[in-house]
Amino acid sequence: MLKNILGYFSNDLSIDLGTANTLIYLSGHGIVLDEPSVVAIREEPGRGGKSIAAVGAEAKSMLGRTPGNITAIRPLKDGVIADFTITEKMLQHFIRKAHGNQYFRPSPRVLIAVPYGSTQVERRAIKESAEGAGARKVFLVEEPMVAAIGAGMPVQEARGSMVLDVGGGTSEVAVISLNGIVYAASVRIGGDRFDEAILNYVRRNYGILIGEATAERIKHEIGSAYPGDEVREISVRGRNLSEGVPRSFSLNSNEILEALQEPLQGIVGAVKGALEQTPPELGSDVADRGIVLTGGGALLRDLDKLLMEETGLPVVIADDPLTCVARGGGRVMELIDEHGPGVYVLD
Amino acid sequence: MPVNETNAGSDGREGSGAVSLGEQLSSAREERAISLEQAARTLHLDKTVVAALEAEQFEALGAAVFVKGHLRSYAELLGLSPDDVIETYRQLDPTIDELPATVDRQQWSGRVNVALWSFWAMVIVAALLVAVYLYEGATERDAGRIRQQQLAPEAQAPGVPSGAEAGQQASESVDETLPPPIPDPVTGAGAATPPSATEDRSMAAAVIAPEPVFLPEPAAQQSVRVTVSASSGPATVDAGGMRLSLIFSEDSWAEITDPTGRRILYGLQRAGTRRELSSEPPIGVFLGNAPGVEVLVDGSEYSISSGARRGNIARFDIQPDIQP
Repeated sequence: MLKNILGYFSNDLSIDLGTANTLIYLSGHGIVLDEPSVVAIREEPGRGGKSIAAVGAEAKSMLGRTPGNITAIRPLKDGVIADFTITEKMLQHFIRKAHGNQYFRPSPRVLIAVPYGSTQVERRAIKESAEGAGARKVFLVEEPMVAAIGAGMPVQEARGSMVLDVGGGTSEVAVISLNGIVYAASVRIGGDRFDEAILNYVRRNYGILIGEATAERIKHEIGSAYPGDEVREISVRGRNLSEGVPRSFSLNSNEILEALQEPLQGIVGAVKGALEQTPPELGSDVADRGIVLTGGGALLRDLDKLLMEETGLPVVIADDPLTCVARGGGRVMELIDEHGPGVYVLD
Repeated sequence: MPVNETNAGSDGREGSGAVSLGEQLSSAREERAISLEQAARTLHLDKTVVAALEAEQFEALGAAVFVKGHLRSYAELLGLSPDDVIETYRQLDPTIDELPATVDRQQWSGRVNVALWSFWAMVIVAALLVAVYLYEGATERDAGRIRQQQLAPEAQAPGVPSGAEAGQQASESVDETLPPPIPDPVTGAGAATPPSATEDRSMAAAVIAPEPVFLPEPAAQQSVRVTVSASSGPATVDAGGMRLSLIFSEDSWAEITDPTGRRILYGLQRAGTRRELSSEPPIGVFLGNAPGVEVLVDGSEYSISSGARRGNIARFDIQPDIQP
């Protein structure tokens, strides 16, 4: 009852609950929140429990730099919830922040994109954590579909469109036609696996241990998916495993390209697999127009070129690929208002 | 060399704003001596798609996301700035539907506040209405209780207090405390206990004339005199302390306090004892076994109202004169 009353003062939200980042799109207004999906927990033995020390960007800056009583954790893993309670707290914090209102608890309708391959249990966990965070109604939609809508693809047409959404934890490829997914596949490879690959490469080849945050910085600055004309360099510091002291060293983009080969091949394999499984008519539509790249992974330099060379098809990067899912969710919310939740919403 | 070409291309674009996007693309391609087929092969596009881009036939290419993607790749291939090319395309077709990617937080928070304040205004109005309703209800209940209390003593109008004799005893014991001599009935009447006024008055009124009685009297005989002397005014009424006598026929706890809250009697009183006290009114009285105690105020018997009793216990204040 109270939720319904408060609902009149809350705007609909579309949430991209990602492994790496959570984005919130406020109906009719745009992206109002873009924060890392990280929560810092403080252990308080004296008071017999745990409390939230920080959420989002602040918590991310604590990753790998916390004292004994604080743990910075990422409550989502591979696109699904790994820690239910913490996810609920994080969502609660983000929903409040997106509404920017400290006087009463917002009670919005919320649309959340879930990975294509997620199980019933995983979907239910996401739905319940959103309800626990204050949502009065939760709609779940499949991530590749909202990504395609957010990228501005003509999903309602009787033509095949292929979208590849490279997220933090998963990459999803889907062929869409007439508002439905014809074929989709999800691989548990994303930005996190890129970081991990860089970390392992540096340890193996330099005998130096670097943190996740450093690995991510290397990826952003010099990471690329396809050999380019220009070789970029970066200087970083890590702990030398044999000496045990921090050492400075430099890496170049070709080394990172080598490091990223394994996860990149996984993504390419998924795309090729999808093309094999696509019905020929739709396949020819895809070949005609191209594959659209969305998600934060699309920002990896020359990923489109790699896919273009590997598949022989045109590949285009959507505008503002990081926010495609959240914006697409916002558009789906408008469609739900117009036509009811029948078309896109799961269960 | 390629740098020079790029500059030349961008100079040409800036110099002549009239040059269309398609012309920019085709001239840049020709400058680089790239054929349409070569460009199409590099971009993994159909030759017709590249030709459509140069001819600005964007409708043939489908949704804007594809047009922008192909334009960006083509611009990169030709050494043009992709952002500039996309911007030119946007100007050509302003109807490209794009969801807003950013939000004006200030504007949004203002809108929220209107809704918020109207909500709080409604809550406050509702709370006021509830408060008024509750207050009205409480006042009515209080009024009802007061009416009941007023009716109760009259309904059970006690017998005539046998105060004449006791009053004399009391006046003897405290003679020195009172400046004027006691025997004057007016003085005795003036200092008579106000709390018993209601009962006494009813008695007096029953016995004598229905004249207004200003001063309460314990006995009918006295009340006659009082009514007579009432015309002379209450000037002779003793303004000093009040004499309180407690006669214990049974054991009883007693606590007597003066107006400042100081205890002037405190403790268990044995049967057969008599206590004489004097204090300014109002005097607080607490008796543990009220039926076993006779209370005399200025020599007249003070009947404890039923409202002050709870079982054997009685707690009441003896007030100064109360005008009826």
